Amino acid sequence: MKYLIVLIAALVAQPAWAYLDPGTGSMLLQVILGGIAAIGVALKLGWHKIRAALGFRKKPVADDEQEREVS
Amino acid sequence: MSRSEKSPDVASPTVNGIDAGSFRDRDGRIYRCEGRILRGLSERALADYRKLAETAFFRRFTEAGKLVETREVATDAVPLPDAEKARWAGFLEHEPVPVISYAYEWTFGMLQEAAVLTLDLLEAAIGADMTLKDATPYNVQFVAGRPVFIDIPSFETLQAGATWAGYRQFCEMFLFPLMLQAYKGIDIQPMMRSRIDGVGVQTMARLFGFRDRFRKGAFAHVWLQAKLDSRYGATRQDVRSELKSAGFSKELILANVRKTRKLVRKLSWGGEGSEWGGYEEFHNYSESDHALKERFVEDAVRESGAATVWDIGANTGQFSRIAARHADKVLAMDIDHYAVERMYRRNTADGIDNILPLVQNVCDPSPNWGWRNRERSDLVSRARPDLVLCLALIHHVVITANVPLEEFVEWLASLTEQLVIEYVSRADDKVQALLRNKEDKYHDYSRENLEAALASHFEVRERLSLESGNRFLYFCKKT
Repeated sequence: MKYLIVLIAALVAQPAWAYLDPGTGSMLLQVILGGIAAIGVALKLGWHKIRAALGFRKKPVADDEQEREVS
Repeated sequence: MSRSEKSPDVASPTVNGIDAGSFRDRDGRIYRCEGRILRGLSERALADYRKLAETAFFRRFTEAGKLVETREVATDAVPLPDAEKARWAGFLEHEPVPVISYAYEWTFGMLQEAAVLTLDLLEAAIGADMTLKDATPYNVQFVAGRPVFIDIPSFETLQAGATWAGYRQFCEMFLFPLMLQAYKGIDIQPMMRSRIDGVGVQTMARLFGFRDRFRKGAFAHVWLQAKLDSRYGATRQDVRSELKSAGFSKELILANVRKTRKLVRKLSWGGEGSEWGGYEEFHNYSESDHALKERFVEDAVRESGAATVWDIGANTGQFSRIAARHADKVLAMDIDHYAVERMYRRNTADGIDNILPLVQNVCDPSPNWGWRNRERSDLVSRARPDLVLCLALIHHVVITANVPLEEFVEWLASLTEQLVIEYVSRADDKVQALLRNKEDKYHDYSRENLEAALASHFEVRERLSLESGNRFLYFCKKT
């Protein structure tokens, strides 16, 4: 189960640049650590991303896009 | 307990009365004045404190001696300049900690207990819709042999959808050092002393090899955290809001806290790599000499009338325990981690509450460091002895650590008015062993030189030659 959640987290992951935000990875890890208790959160976290990716919902400012705009 | 509740011998460094190490949290600041420990609080922190003071868990942990005794004091009654008072919405007063100690002076077991206390408090706080904003061993002190949580404003209201804010810090400051000790036999003290924020996630991942990934807790807390950290470390995504809207709940924090605590409790260390942990059983002198030495030390401690005794080179604390029968408190220090760990475990088992065991190398002692070199201070800024016991140590200082004998005695004289020191002659096996593979350039290491050095700072009140003829004890006082 843990690995499924890791997989979900990895799928929705987006590469990132810029300033250091040292806590972000550790925050996400807490979803994975939560195991069964965290399935709902993990799916929802993924669901948002999936909906955004499919265009049903306004996509949150994606790092890669913004990066492109800047450069 | 009453013995330990005296005000500290020496305050930590202060700048205009402000504790030099309490700057990180903008919502409060520690002041030390007239032997009192006062804490200014912002409006928000004051509201959180008042909420905390109403909770059942706060009273429960305070009564159990696990939270520092705290009360709110009227700003009018605070002995600080008006300009300082005006900075804060209110003030707390805390019971002073007799001697401040740091994680890099603690043993594995001490750090482990401080970790469990931190998690116990976090669990209880979550139950009352509060949380701990950080997770550092500097929030914990050892009083009467037990860990006590002292950073009251670390408790704050839990925001909906918040994650465990101190999780990463908990890993770097508690879990990783404990794992390194338990799994790899790497001592926690040099790790905690080299970086004020503990063992970084990426460093930890590099210290762990492939096989270590399969150790309990390592896959997620170390490997995965390092991966996620490097992947998301610089993200611009608002992960906090995303987690909140995905329904991150306090039950999830509780589940993680409980799992982490289970892991912390399971970690154990049996002293692999210790040279000195078994010294007590293997001392190379006769039982009758041993009895003579014990009696000499006990008489000296009693006659000194010392309130605070430092036992430097305490090993497993045999003589510290003798001193503790007569003194208010004993700081028992040794370079060997496992020897100190054994002392801590035994003191805890025997209910001895006036010995503070510390891992400390007198030739490389705790420094002043951190911000402005004042955030954490050296030991002599935090405590002072009335009597120092220096038993079977001088040969290590002079021959192993190459400190000139005269300088060592001079340092002892700068530290204390009264001293019990043991000289171990060159004929003793222990000294022979030290010199076996070393060129003997230690011409200063002689009984005559020691006596001359002592005479220039102290008056020798009592002396004793042990029957073996190789060991000599001196009880000295400043003239």
